[in-house]
Amino acid sequence: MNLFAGPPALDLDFARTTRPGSRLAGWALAVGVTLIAVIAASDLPDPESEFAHAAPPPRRSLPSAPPPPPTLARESQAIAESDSVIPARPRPDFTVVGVVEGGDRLLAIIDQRGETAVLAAGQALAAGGRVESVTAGEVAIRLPKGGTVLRYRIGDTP
Amino acid sequence: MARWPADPLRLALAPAPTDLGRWLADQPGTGLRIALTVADVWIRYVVAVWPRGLWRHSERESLARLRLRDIYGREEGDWPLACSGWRARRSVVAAVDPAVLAAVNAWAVERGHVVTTLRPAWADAVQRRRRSLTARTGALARLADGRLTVGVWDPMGWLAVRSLVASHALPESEIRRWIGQQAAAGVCYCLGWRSATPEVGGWRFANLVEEP
Repeated sequence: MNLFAGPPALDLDFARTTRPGSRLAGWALAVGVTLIAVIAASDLPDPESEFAHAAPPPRRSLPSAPPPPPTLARESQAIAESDSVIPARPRPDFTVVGVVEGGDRLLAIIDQRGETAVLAAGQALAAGGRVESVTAGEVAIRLPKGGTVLRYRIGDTP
Repeated sequence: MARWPADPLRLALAPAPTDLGRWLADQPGTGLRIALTVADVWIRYVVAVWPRGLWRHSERESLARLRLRDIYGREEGDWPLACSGWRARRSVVAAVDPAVLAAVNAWAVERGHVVTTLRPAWADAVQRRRRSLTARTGALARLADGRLTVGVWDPMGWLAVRSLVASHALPESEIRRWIGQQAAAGVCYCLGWRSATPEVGGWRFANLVEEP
Protein backbone atom coordinates (compact mmCIF):
# COMPACT_ATOMS: atom_id res chain seq x y z
CA MET A 1 0.00 0.00 0.00
CA ASN A 2 1.18 3.48 -0.81
CA LEU A 3 1.31 5.18 2.60
CA PHE A 4 2.19 8.57 1.18
CA ALA A 5 0.04 10.87 -0.87
CA GLY A 6 0.78 10.97 -4.56
CA PRO A 7 1.55 8.31 -7.11
CA PRO A 8 3.67 5.26 -6.31
CA ALA A 9 7.24 5.39 -7.58
CA LEU A 10 7.49 4.67 -11.27
CA ASP A 11 11.09 3.82 -11.99
CA LEU A 12 10.91 2.35 -15.45
CA ASP A 13 14.36 2.19 -16.99
CA PHE A 14 15.27 0.14 -20.04
CA ALA A 15 18.99 0.82 -19.53
CA ARG A 16 19.15 -0.67 -16.07
CA THR A 17 20.32 -4.15 -16.89
CA THR A 18 22.69 -3.33 -19.73
CA ARG A 19 26.33 -2.39 -19.40
CA PRO A 20 29.42 -2.02 -21.57
CA GLY A 21 30.47 1.08 -23.51
CA SER A 22 27.26 2.79 -23.14
CA ARG A 23 25.03 1.02 -20.69
CA LEU A 24 23.06 0.11 -23.75
CA ALA A 25 26.04 -1.01 -25.79
CA GLY A 26 25.87 -4.58 -26.90
CA TRP A 27 22.17 -4.65 -26.25
CA ALA A 28 21.50 -7.26 -28.85
CA LEU A 29 24.24 -9.43 -27.39
CA ALA A 30 23.05 -8.68 -23.90
CA VAL A 31 19.62 -9.96 -24.79
CA GLY A 32 20.99 -13.41 -25.43
CA VAL A 33 23.24 -13.36 -22.37
CA THR A 34 20.49 -11.99 -20.18
CA LEU A 35 18.10 -14.60 -21.40
CA ILE A 36 20.48 -17.38 -20.50
CA ALA A 37 21.03 -15.81 -17.09
CA VAL A 38 17.34 -15.20 -16.54
CA ILE A 39 16.38 -18.72 -17.55
CA ALA A 40 19.07 -20.12 -15.27
CA ALA A 41 18.19 -17.94 -12.30
CA SER A 42 14.50 -17.41 -12.78
CA ASP A 43 13.34 -19.69 -9.99
CA LEU A 44 13.71 -16.97 -7.40
CA PRO A 45 12.27 -13.50 -7.56
CA ASP A 46 14.91 -10.95 -8.39
CA PRO A 47 13.72 -7.55 -7.26
CA GLU A 48 16.98 -5.82 -8.22
CA SER A 49 16.83 -6.61 -11.92
CA GLU A 50 13.30 -5.80 -12.83
CA PHE A 51 12.99 -7.27 -16.24
CA ALA A 52 14.29 -5.22 -19.11
CA HIS A 53 15.08 -7.64 -21.87
CA ALA A 54 13.51 -9.09 -24.94
CA ALA A 55 11.17 -12.03 -25.01
CA PRO A 56 12.81 -15.41 -25.18
CA PRO A 57 12.86 -16.84 -28.67
CA PRO A 58 10.61 -19.84 -29.19
CA ARG A 59 12.45 -23.00 -28.36
CA ARG A 60 12.67 -25.73 -30.89
CA SER A 61 12.85 -29.34 -30.02
CA LEU A 62 16.26 -30.63 -30.94
CA PRO A 63 17.34 -34.22 -30.66
CA SER A 64 19.83 -34.64 -27.84
CA ALA A 65 22.32 -36.50 -30.01
CA PRO A 66 22.49 -37.35 -33.70
CA PRO A 67 21.57 -40.94 -34.48
CA PRO A 68 24.51 -43.25 -35.09
CA PRO A 69 25.26 -44.19 -38.69
CA PRO A 70 23.11 -47.15 -39.62
CA THR A 71 24.68 -50.51 -39.96
CA LEU A 72 23.05 -53.61 -41.36
CA ALA A 73 23.02 -55.28 -37.94
CA ARG A 74 21.48 -52.26 -36.24
CA GLU A 75 18.92 -51.84 -38.96
CA SER A 76 17.75 -55.40 -38.70
CA GLN A 77 17.65 -55.08 -34.90
CA ALA A 78 15.55 -51.92 -35.23
CA ILE A 79 13.16 -53.66 -37.59
CA ALA A 80 12.82 -56.53 -35.16
CA GLU A 81 12.15 -54.14 -32.26
CA SER A 82 9.65 -52.14 -34.25
CA ASP A 83 7.61 -55.26 -34.84
CA SER A 84 7.37 -56.10 -31.17
CA VAL A 85 7.43 -52.74 -29.36
CA ILE A 86 4.71 -50.12 -29.61
CA PRO A 87 6.60 -46.90 -30.24
CA ALA A 88 6.10 -44.21 -27.62
CA ARG A 89 4.02 -41.33 -28.83
CA PRO A 90 6.07 -38.13 -28.96
CA ARG A 91 4.81 -35.69 -26.37
CA PRO A 92 5.70 -32.11 -25.67
CA ASP A 93 8.11 -31.47 -22.84
CA PHE A 94 6.45 -29.36 -20.15
CA THR A 95 5.15 -29.31 -16.61
CA VAL A 96 1.92 -27.74 -15.45
CA VAL A 97 3.15 -25.66 -12.51
CA GLY A 98 -0.04 -23.97 -11.43
CA VAL A 99 -3.24 -22.16 -12.22
CA VAL A 100 -3.78 -18.51 -11.31
CA GLU A 101 -6.52 -15.99 -11.73
CA GLY A 102 -5.72 -13.44 -14.37
CA GLY A 103 -8.42 -10.81 -14.48
CA ASP A 104 -11.65 -12.46 -15.54
CA ARG A 105 -10.18 -15.83 -16.49
CA LEU A 106 -7.88 -18.56 -15.30
CA LEU A 107 -4.32 -18.87 -16.58
CA ALA A 108 -2.05 -21.88 -16.62
CA ILE A 109 1.56 -21.55 -15.49
CA ILE A 110 3.51 -24.00 -17.60
CA ASP A 111 7.20 -24.69 -17.32
CA GLN A 112 8.62 -25.60 -20.70
CA ARG A 113 12.13 -26.90 -20.20
CA GLY A 114 12.97 -24.29 -17.60
CA GLU A 115 11.15 -21.49 -19.37
CA THR A 116 7.94 -20.37 -17.72
CA ALA A 117 4.91 -19.35 -19.71
CA VAL A 118 1.60 -18.08 -18.42
CA LEU A 119 -1.01 -19.13 -20.94
CA ALA A 120 -4.72 -18.71 -21.36
CA ALA A 121 -6.99 -21.23 -23.06
CA GLY A 122 -6.39 -21.24 -26.79
CA GLN A 123 -2.73 -20.29 -26.63
CA ALA A 124 0.07 -22.43 -27.98
CA LEU A 125 2.92 -23.98 -26.03
CA ALA A 126 6.44 -23.39 -27.33
CA ALA A 127 7.06 -27.13 -27.06
CA GLY A 128 4.05 -27.84 -29.27
CA GLY A 129 0.41 -28.29 -28.48
CA ARG A 130 -2.22 -25.86 -27.28
CA VAL A 131 -3.95 -25.08 -24.02
CA GLU A 132 -7.49 -26.35 -24.46
CA SER A 133 -8.99 -25.25 -21.17
CA VAL A 134 -7.91 -24.06 -17.74
CA THR A 135 -9.94 -24.86 -14.66
CA ALA A 136 -9.05 -24.74 -10.97
CA GLY A 137 -6.31 -27.30 -10.46
CA GLU A 138 -6.50 -28.81 -13.94
CA VAL A 139 -5.26 -27.86 -17.37
CA ALA A 140 -6.27 -29.57 -20.61
CA ILE A 141 -3.64 -29.63 -23.35
CA ARG A 142 -4.31 -30.57 -26.95
CA LEU A 143 -1.25 -32.43 -28.22
CA PRO A 144 0.27 -31.31 -31.52
CA LYS A 145 -0.10 -34.62 -33.29
CA GLY A 146 -3.41 -36.36 -33.50
CA GLY A 147 -5.24 -33.65 -31.57
CA THR A 148 -5.52 -35.76 -28.43
CA VAL A 149 -6.58 -33.75 -25.38
CA LEU A 150 -4.88 -34.72 -22.14
CA ARG A 151 -5.76 -33.35 -18.72
CA TYR A 152 -3.02 -32.47 -16.26
CA ARG A 153 -3.25 -31.82 -12.55
CA ILE A 154 -0.84 -29.27 -11.16
CA GLY A 155 2.64 -30.75 -11.01
CA ASP A 156 1.96 -33.29 -13.75
CA THR A 157 4.52 -33.88 -16.45
CA PRO A 158 3.69 -35.81 -19.60
CA MET B 1 24.08 27.52 -14.00
CA ALA B 2 26.82 25.02 -14.78
CA ARG B 3 25.85 21.40 -14.62
CA TRP B 4 27.40 19.23 -11.97
CA PRO B 5 29.95 17.14 -13.88
CA ALA B 6 28.33 13.89 -12.81
CA ASP B 7 24.94 15.01 -14.06
CA PRO B 8 24.06 13.29 -17.31
CA LEU B 9 22.86 15.38 -20.21
CA ARG B 10 19.09 15.02 -20.55
CA LEU B 11 17.83 14.23 -24.01
CA ALA B 12 14.29 13.51 -25.09
CA LEU B 13 13.94 11.04 -27.92
CA ALA B 14 10.81 12.33 -29.54
CA PRO B 15 10.87 12.33 -33.30
CA ALA B 16 8.50 10.65 -35.68
CA PRO B 17 9.44 6.99 -36.11
CA THR B 18 10.88 7.52 -39.60
CA ASP B 19 13.22 10.26 -38.40
CA LEU B 20 14.85 8.36 -35.57
CA GLY B 21 18.21 7.68 -37.27
CA ARG B 22 18.50 11.22 -38.57
CA TRP B 23 17.50 12.73 -35.23
CA LEU B 24 20.16 10.74 -33.42
CA ALA B 25 22.78 11.59 -36.05
CA ASP B 26 22.00 15.30 -35.64
CA GLN B 27 22.72 15.26 -31.90
CA PRO B 28 26.06 16.96 -31.23
CA GLY B 29 28.86 15.80 -28.96
CA THR B 30 30.77 12.64 -28.21
CA GLY B 31 31.67 10.75 -25.06
CA LEU B 32 28.81 12.16 -23.01
CA ARG B 33 26.76 10.68 -20.22
CA ILE B 34 23.18 10.90 -21.36
CA ALA B 35 19.85 10.34 -19.67
CA LEU B 36 17.38 9.57 -22.43
CA THR B 37 13.66 9.75 -22.31
CA VAL B 38 11.73 7.97 -25.03
CA ALA B 39 8.55 9.47 -26.46
CA ASP B 40 5.45 7.52 -25.58
CA VAL B 41 4.82 6.76 -29.24
CA TRP B 42 7.53 4.11 -28.88
CA ILE B 43 6.16 2.69 -25.65
CA ARG B 44 3.30 0.37 -24.73
CA TYR B 45 2.11 0.48 -21.14
CA VAL B 46 0.15 -2.01 -19.14
CA VAL B 47 -0.71 -2.27 -15.46
CA ALA B 48 -0.22 -5.85 -14.39
CA VAL B 49 -2.14 -7.15 -11.40
CA TRP B 50 -0.12 -10.06 -10.08
CA PRO B 51 -2.31 -12.98 -9.07
CA ARG B 52 -1.70 -14.61 -5.74
CA GLY B 53 0.87 -17.34 -6.06
CA LEU B 54 2.55 -15.74 -9.03
CA TRP B 55 5.78 -14.53 -7.51
CA ARG B 56 8.55 -15.88 -9.68
CA HIS B 57 10.25 -13.39 -11.93
CA SER B 58 9.75 -15.49 -15.05
CA GLU B 59 6.09 -16.09 -14.25
CA ARG B 60 5.38 -12.41 -13.77
CA GLU B 61 7.25 -11.52 -16.93
CA SER B 62 5.31 -14.11 -18.85
CA LEU B 63 2.02 -12.75 -17.53
CA ALA B 64 3.06 -9.21 -18.46
CA ARG B 65 3.80 -10.34 -22.00
CA LEU B 66 0.45 -12.09 -22.17
CA ARG B 67 -1.29 -8.86 -21.16
CA LEU B 68 0.66 -6.88 -23.76
CA ARG B 69 -0.31 -9.40 -26.45
CA ASP B 70 -3.93 -9.23 -25.36
CA ILE B 71 -4.01 -5.46 -25.59
CA TYR B 72 -1.62 -4.53 -28.37
CA GLY B 73 -0.86 -7.67 -30.38
CA ARG B 74 1.66 -10.42 -30.71
CA GLU B 75 4.58 -8.24 -31.74
CA GLU B 76 4.39 -5.98 -28.70
CA GLY B 77 4.36 -9.01 -26.43
CA ASP B 78 7.93 -9.72 -27.52
CA TRP B 79 9.30 -6.20 -26.99
CA PRO B 80 11.89 -5.51 -24.29
CA LEU B 81 10.23 -4.78 -20.96
CA ALA B 82 10.81 -2.66 -17.91
CA CYS B 83 8.78 -3.18 -14.77
CA SER B 84 8.26 -0.83 -11.85
CA GLY B 85 7.27 -1.89 -8.38
CA TRP B 86 8.19 -5.54 -8.57
CA ARG B 87 7.09 -6.25 -5.00
CA ALA B 88 3.81 -4.41 -5.38
CA ARG B 89 0.51 -6.13 -5.98
CA ARG B 90 0.15 -4.06 -9.15
CA SER B 91 3.01 -2.95 -11.35
CA VAL B 92 3.34 -0.71 -14.33
CA VAL B 93 5.05 -2.56 -17.16
CA ALA B 94 6.37 -0.73 -20.20
CA ALA B 95 7.47 -2.28 -23.47
CA VAL B 96 9.71 -0.39 -25.88
CA ASP B 97 10.00 -0.81 -29.62
CA PRO B 98 13.21 -2.82 -30.09
CA ALA B 99 14.14 -0.68 -33.11
CA VAL B 100 14.58 2.26 -30.74
CA LEU B 101 16.95 0.36 -28.49
CA ALA B 102 18.93 -0.87 -31.47
CA ALA B 103 19.22 2.64 -32.93
CA VAL B 104 20.17 4.19 -29.59
CA ASN B 105 22.68 1.46 -28.98
CA ALA B 106 24.38 1.92 -32.36
CA TRP B 107 24.42 5.69 -31.89
CA ALA B 108 25.88 5.46 -28.37
CA VAL B 109 28.62 3.07 -29.45
CA GLU B 110 29.52 5.20 -32.46
CA ARG B 111 29.69 8.43 -30.45
CA GLY B 112 31.16 6.92 -27.30
CA HIS B 113 28.21 8.04 -25.19
CA VAL B 114 27.16 6.38 -21.97
CA VAL B 115 23.39 6.13 -21.75
CA THR B 116 22.78 6.21 -18.01
CA THR B 117 19.01 5.85 -18.15
CA LEU B 118 16.43 5.24 -20.84
CA ARG B 119 12.97 5.99 -19.55
CA PRO B 120 9.53 6.33 -21.10
CA ALA B 121 8.57 10.00 -21.28
CA TRP B 122 5.36 9.76 -19.29
CA ALA B 123 6.97 7.64 -16.55
CA ASP B 124 9.84 10.11 -16.40
CA ALA B 125 7.35 12.97 -16.00
CA VAL B 126 5.70 11.14 -13.10
CA GLN B 127 9.01 10.58 -11.35
CA ARG B 128 10.20 14.14 -11.79
CA ARG B 129 6.92 15.61 -10.54
CA ARG B 130 6.04 13.30 -7.71
CA ARG B 131 6.35 16.13 -5.18
CA SER B 132 3.71 18.12 -7.04
CA LEU B 133 1.32 15.19 -7.38
CA THR B 134 -0.06 15.19 -3.87
CA ALA B 135 -3.49 13.63 -4.34
CA ARG B 136 -4.02 10.22 -2.76
CA THR B 137 -6.11 9.26 -5.76
CA GLY B 138 -5.11 10.99 -8.93
CA ALA B 139 -4.08 10.91 -12.54
CA LEU B 140 -1.35 12.45 -14.62
CA ALA B 141 -2.46 13.21 -18.17
CA ARG B 142 0.48 14.32 -20.30
CA LEU B 143 0.11 15.58 -23.84
CA ALA B 144 3.35 15.58 -25.81
CA ASP B 145 4.53 14.66 -29.30
CA GLY B 146 0.95 14.23 -30.48
CA ARG B 147 0.18 11.65 -27.85
CA LEU B 148 -1.84 11.78 -24.68
CA THR B 149 -0.74 9.40 -21.95
CA VAL B 150 -2.81 9.08 -18.79
CA GLY B 151 -2.13 7.03 -15.70
CA VAL B 152 -4.42 6.72 -12.69
CA TRP B 153 -3.34 5.78 -9.17
CA ASP B 154 -4.99 5.23 -5.82
CA PRO B 155 -3.49 4.50 -2.38
CA MET B 156 -3.06 0.83 -3.35
CA GLY B 157 -0.97 1.55 -6.42
CA TRP B 158 -1.34 2.17 -10.11
CA LEU B 159 -4.78 1.38 -11.51
CA ALA B 160 -4.39 1.87 -15.24
CA VAL B 161 -2.28 3.57 -17.87
CA ARG B 162 -3.48 4.50 -21.31
CA SER B 163 -1.61 6.14 -24.16
CA LEU B 164 -3.43 7.38 -27.24
CA VAL B 165 -2.88 9.45 -30.32
CA ALA B 166 -4.15 12.90 -29.43
CA SER B 167 -6.59 14.06 -32.04
CA HIS B 168 -10.03 15.52 -32.38
CA ALA B 169 -11.32 11.99 -32.35
CA LEU B 170 -10.37 11.86 -28.70
CA PRO B 171 -12.11 14.75 -26.98
CA GLU B 172 -11.48 15.78 -23.41
CA SER B 173 -14.76 14.22 -22.40
CA GLU B 174 -13.40 10.81 -23.38
CA ILE B 175 -10.46 11.25 -21.02
CA ARG B 176 -12.82 12.31 -18.25
CA ARG B 177 -15.02 9.29 -18.87
CA TRP B 178 -12.04 6.95 -18.80
CA ILE B 179 -10.49 8.24 -15.58
CA GLY B 180 -13.97 8.23 -14.06
CA GLN B 181 -14.15 4.52 -14.81
CA GLN B 182 -10.91 3.89 -12.93
CA ALA B 183 -11.79 5.80 -9.75
CA ALA B 184 -14.81 7.78 -8.59
CA ALA B 185 -12.94 10.88 -7.52
CA GLY B 186 -9.49 12.40 -7.50
CA VAL B 187 -7.26 15.04 -8.97
CA CYS B 188 -6.21 14.86 -12.60
CA TYR B 189 -2.97 16.73 -13.21
CA CYS B 190 -2.77 18.03 -16.77
CA LEU B 191 0.65 18.41 -18.33
CA GLY B 192 1.07 19.92 -21.78
CA TRP B 193 -2.65 20.72 -22.10
CA ARG B 194 -5.25 22.64 -20.17
CA SER B 195 -8.58 21.29 -19.11
CA ALA B 196 -11.47 23.52 -20.15
CA THR B 197 -13.45 22.77 -17.02
CA PRO B 198 -11.89 22.61 -13.55
CA GLU B 199 -14.19 19.98 -12.12
CA VAL B 200 -16.22 17.12 -13.55
CA GLY B 201 -18.00 14.59 -11.35
CA GLY B 202 -15.66 13.73 -8.52
CA TRP B 203 -12.58 14.70 -10.49
CA ARG B 204 -10.79 18.01 -10.20
CA PHE B 205 -8.44 19.08 -12.97
CA ALA B 206 -5.20 20.87 -12.09
CA ASN B 207 -2.97 22.32 -14.78
CA LEU B 208 0.78 21.84 -14.44
CA VAL B 209 3.43 23.67 -16.39
CA GLU B 210 5.85 21.57 -18.46
CA GLU B 211 9.42 21.98 -17.28
CA PRO B 212 11.98 22.97 -19.88
